[in-house]
Amino acid sequence: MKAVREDGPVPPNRWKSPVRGPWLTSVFGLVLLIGIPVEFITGLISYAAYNPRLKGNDPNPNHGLFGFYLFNWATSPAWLYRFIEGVHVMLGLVLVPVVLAKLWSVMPKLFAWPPWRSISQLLERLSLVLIVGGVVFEMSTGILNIDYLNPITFYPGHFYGAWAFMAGFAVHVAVKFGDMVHALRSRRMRTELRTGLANTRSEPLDGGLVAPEPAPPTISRRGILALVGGTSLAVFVLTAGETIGGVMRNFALFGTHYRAPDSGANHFPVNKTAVSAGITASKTGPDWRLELLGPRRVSLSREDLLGMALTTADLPIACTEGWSTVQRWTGVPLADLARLAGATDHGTADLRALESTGEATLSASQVSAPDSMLALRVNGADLSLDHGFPARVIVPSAPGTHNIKWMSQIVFSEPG
Amino acid sequence: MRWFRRHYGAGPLHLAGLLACFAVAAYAVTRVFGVSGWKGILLWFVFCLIGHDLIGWPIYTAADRVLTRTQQRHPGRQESLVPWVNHVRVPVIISGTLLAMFFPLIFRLSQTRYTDYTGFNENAYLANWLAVTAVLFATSGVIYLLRLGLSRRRRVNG
Repeated sequence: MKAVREDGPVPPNRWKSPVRGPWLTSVFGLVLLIGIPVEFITGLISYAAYNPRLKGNDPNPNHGLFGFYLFNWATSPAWLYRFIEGVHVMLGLVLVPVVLAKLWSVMPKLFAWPPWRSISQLLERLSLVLIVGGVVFEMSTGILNIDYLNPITFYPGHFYGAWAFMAGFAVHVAVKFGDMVHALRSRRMRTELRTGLANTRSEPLDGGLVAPEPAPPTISRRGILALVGGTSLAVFVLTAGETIGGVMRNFALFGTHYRAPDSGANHFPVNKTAVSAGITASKTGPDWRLELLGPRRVSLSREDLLGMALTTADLPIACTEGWSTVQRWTGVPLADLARLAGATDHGTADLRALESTGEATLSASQVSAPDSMLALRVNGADLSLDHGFPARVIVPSAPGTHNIKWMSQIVFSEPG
Repeated sequence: MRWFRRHYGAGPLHLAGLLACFAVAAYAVTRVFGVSGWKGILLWFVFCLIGHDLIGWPIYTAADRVLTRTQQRHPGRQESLVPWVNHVRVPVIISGTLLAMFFPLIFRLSQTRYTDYTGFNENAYLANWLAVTAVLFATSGVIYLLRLGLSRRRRVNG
């Protein structure tokens, strides 16, 4: 009992790792200090890309003050959303081993005894709840979402969780930044990279991370860095091809979209199949019509649409889950359809799919962007049923969920 | 000011920063209350808080202790002096991290949704994971044998 009172549940001499110490922790900390703000900013931008202020677009309708920064999403460059979301998802995956290494490296702090020496220290430790819980929460909700297993509601969890996490992160950086710089300066990276197992010694005692009675080393510091970096590299190679594409896609063995159905012009990954959406050949046959609602009401068959002036552009479909693919689309510019319905191209467009399988509202700038189109063909062939036949919307730089497939109706609204 | 420092343990800016941090977090929680699955979200956060420190860490630390003790008892051929422990750790850790990240695909836990969204099934991922794991262990083993050969040659020449 006496020992517990003096040293806590895990006395300092129980920690045996000879490589744990402020320098190693600070190396991981520095990587996360750069990586996590990139994750936060790309995440916020990705949310803005939904144009949440338009009707029906907002996955977090009660965002309150957290929506203060929302802006009208850009349509150019066309690869913007693909890039932002690709970075967000792939960097997030690559940081997982670094986060785990960082958590391992600071374990002795969890059992620091006494638990606090002042009110300030108590509050500081309470704020750690936000970053330790927050970082695992953000990683796990993100990963489970791209793996299609959703034990919790993804969008609000990941979004509000990010704010709580970043609140703790900001305080942690403010409190620890000086310690990190000091620790990084205490050893030279170049020397560490030249130091093998035989010459690996503990860092000087710091009364926290460094073990007072270390075991003989079984791995060098450069060995740990190589292990963590190597794990991140493995995760990168086995997933990033989903968005980088080309040969890399074949190596994305843990990505969800490294395979593509069909062959020929429609041989690229699908998001939501026609079968699962309840779309059958009878609903998309010769009787199919696209309805345009504006000051005028117009009904168009696929032949009518093919008879209009068509435009062709190389545009990505980029999913919130991080994967993307660029294809050559041919179709009718949305601005032309707006004019046909008697609307100016300064209003929004409400897109509706067959069987209520999809809905989104496009902003005025998305409707009028030169490459925004109702696509009828891809890579010179008719769209396949899985890719949205008879017609799908493609908007430059829009999130994939706004590129509605199996279109049935567009409602053009006047501005105001 | 000195009174504040003595009773609080840090400057007033420290307190202001922490209060701002808790205010933002508390506001985030009020936003979550408006979501239909709010209980699940909060519960999941608690699970994440203990997930590494109280579940993951004890397990992998115990496993590593078994490994290093085995190495101490069976250090390999004495004359070679090439420790093998990291040649087990590295493939286990990489393969284990991949498993922890992609278990819903590997164990086919999201089969229906996956098929609806991609048009394929998840049966390939177990094979993908086993293949990657096999390549990792094979590479690690080959490197160990090379190091062993190199150290023997050094021993003979030296």
